[in-house]
Amino acid sequence: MNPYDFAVHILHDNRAAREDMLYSAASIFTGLDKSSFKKAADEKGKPFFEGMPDLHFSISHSGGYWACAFGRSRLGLDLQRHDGCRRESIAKRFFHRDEAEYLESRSYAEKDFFELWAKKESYVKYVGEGLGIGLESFSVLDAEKDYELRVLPFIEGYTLCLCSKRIEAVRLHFEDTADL
Amino acid sequence: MLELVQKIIFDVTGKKGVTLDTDFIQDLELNSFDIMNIICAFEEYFNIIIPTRDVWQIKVVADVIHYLNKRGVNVV
Repeated sequence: MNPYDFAVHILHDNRAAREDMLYSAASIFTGLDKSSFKKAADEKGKPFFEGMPDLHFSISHSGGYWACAFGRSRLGLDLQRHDGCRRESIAKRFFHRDEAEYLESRSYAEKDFFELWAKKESYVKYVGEGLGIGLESFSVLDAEKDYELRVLPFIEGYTLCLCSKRIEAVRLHFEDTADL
Repeated sequence: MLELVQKIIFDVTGKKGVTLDTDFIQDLELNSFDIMNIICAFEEYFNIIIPTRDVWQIKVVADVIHYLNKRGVNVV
């Protein structure tokens, strides 16, 4: 399999069943039995499957949805519902200066704000450092990047973004296509 | 102070019934975006800046109150 091909599974969220949802999606991606997987987390909280160092995944949930990206290289995924928020305050307080200026020039439009947010969050997950890295310390608007971001299609009112070193094909699996 | 923090959390997230022991991530199921939104609300309400390094020390509601007390925030 191409190391820069990925799959993203999106299901209606069910908190009590999240572990099973993860194992089921991993089973579809790999073709292995669900019982093959055991989730653990490193010291920074980044999850991994025990004994499967070449299988990478990243989970995100927001609103009524749970999403998980799988791949053979390091990756980060973020799904964010466009909830009401202090967009200007958050941009000025937590975003890189270039990003805050960009959003100001766009009048803090909801779509632009959440696209930047999801890009930043997916990058943070990709590097695996957690938000302690400081969201203001980097700009996803930089032209020269050693990583790639891809905003993926999803339903109105949400933004879904994948980050990895390089991204080629992305397969999307939706539980309920009637939503789309 | 607890009532005020409860009100701010409700205004931002719509979550009710929080107690001192309520964990923002485990119990309220907030993601990092929600946390940033709440932090901005606390900063605006109490007129303080909460450095990023301090944000990730706040796990439960009691941590917020302890933090605000430590920063000398008084509720009139």
